Amino acid sequence: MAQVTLRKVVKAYDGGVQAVKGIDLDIADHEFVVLVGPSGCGKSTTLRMIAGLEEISDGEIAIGGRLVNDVPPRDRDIAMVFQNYALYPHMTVFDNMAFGLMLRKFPKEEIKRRVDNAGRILDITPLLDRKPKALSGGQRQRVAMGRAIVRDPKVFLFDEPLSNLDAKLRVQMRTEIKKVHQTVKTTTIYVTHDQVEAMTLADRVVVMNGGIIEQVGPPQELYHNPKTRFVAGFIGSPGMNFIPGRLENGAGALRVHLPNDIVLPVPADRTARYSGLAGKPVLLGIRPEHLTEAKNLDRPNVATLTATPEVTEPMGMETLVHFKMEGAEIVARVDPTAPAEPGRPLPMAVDLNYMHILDPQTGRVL
Amino acid sequence: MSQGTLSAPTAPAAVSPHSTLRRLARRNSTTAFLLTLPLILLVLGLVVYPFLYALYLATLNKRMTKFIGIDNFTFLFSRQTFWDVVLQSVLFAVTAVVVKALIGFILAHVLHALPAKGQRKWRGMLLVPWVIPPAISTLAWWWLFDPSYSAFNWALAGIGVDPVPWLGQAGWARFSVILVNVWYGSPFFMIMYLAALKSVPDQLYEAAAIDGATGWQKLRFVTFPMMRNIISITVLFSLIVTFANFDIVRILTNGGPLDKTHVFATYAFQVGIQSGDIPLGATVSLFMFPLLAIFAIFILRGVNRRTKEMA
Repeated sequence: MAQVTLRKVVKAYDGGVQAVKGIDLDIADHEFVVLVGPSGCGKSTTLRMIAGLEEISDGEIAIGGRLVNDVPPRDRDIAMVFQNYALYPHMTVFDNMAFGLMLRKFPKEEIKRRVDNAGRILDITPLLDRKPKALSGGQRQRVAMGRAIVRDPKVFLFDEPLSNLDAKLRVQMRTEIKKVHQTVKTTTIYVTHDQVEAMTLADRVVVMNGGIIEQVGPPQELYHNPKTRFVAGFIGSPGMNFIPGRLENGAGALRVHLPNDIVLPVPADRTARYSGLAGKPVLLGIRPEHLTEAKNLDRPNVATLTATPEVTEPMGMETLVHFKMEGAEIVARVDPTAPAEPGRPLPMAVDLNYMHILDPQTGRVL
Repeated sequence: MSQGTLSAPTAPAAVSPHSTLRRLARRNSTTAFLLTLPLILLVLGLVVYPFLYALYLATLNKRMTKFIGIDNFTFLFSRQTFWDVVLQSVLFAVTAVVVKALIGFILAHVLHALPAKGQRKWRGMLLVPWVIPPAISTLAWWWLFDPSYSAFNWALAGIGVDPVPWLGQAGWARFSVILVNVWYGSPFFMIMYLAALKSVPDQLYEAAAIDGATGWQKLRFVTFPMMRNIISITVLFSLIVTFANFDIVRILTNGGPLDKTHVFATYAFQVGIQSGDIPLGATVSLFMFPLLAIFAIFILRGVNRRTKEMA
């Protein structure tokens, strides 16, 4: 078990392209940290640098307090689960799991004990004599995890391990991974582009974009208090809506003026925070679940507006309603019983208790 | 309420011969057969027919006028030269194939480790021996082996070593024909192994690196098992070609000295064509078949098993 520390870590390729631009990160012992971001954001490169599969161009990486910049992967005491599982096709499940221990010259009885134990944890004991070809995608994923578990390493690294599974199996395996972590409690660094995986698995989520860390925090904090437009838009499905507008002082209160002559009052408890922005263009950030059919209108800070849906998407437990406001694509979550139809004006409620004001220039949440 | 009627299934209408033909033409197996037909005809004409004809010839007397049963076979078994040829053919083929496989394996690894740009250049150069017609390149080797004026002996003299009778002494002559065959055949192994190396997913090496494997252990536990099918098939193919080799021995030594470098093909040629005993020559050539069949059965059985397990 160990903590992992990254200090100003840079990965630059020939030609000067920087995939990772000097990131700092502290991962505590036993912690489950998820690196999430879009393709090309540098999350996999960061994981591979921690694993020792990519050289570090600049900065320092330490595992368990030991600087590992020049330590080969085999001496870092880490285990990794790959997206394509990377099981050795010519070995049985048992041999795949035992390979790392065999190379480290563990006694045969100890290898058997550990493999059997991992087999029990992952429910793959009946598969131990099979070759990977004879396994389903989910079973291969379990074997790949088993290979990591038997090693009892300081750190587990997962590189998009669920991407090749179908949607149902992905949900099931997500739970399995969480259970395994709760059992073995090994420090885990998990890379994914799926924000749902990030939210459900992580103790802390690291949101990356363009080779930098946008924000680090527990899932709920990232969801409710994003620091940047990128994080607000990336975390949550669908992401946060951004409506261009202007803050104005009027009638003794601060108000947000939106397109189509919509004026929404800023809640009293936020007036002091935004008062310096009066007269300036801003972005109003509001999550789809806080933009609903007209309901709870008697609650404080709930305002109304009318929108004409362009598209409706019935999801069963809710309906997503898409409409446009001054070019901005807006999504609202309404009750499936709400009279939401394309082209028919729909009265809606905005819960301003959950509003965010962003600087349109810097994308910072103010 | 609606009324329904029940009726017995009607017999299918008579099928016209046209539609049967059309259905036959549409079948995948028919297309496959038609596409392989040229090769089947070639194999029938150039392999099956000569083989059956050789079987027939082997039962005739020297003048090919009388059926003599297995007399040609018993005659061959009683000759020491024939057993020398058996031994030499096996020695020639096995040694050459093993050395070619080793050199090909090493060259493929060296090439694989080179950056892509330099790799193309070296790959092209290393393939040269394989693309030159062997009859021409063997002539060049023959000059190199010349006892009096050759480059080899001249170079050896330069460092004070006595001239070597490359083609004049049984041991050296056997070494020389194997050397030329290795020079000619190694690039084939190299290119096959290189293709196999490129097909091993990088993630397996990465997984092995994290599992704690050293470079040698990656080679032993990942590369080699992943390449075993290609190695087996390449070895089998090369064994067949090397076993049936004719041109290198014919040009370099013509089977000499004292028949000590003859292989089946050159011996069959000498007995059958040069000495005019076609039935005996046919009998010699028939011995290649059972030996190769045994190799092929063992190798292909392993390939099949691994393919089923891994693919």
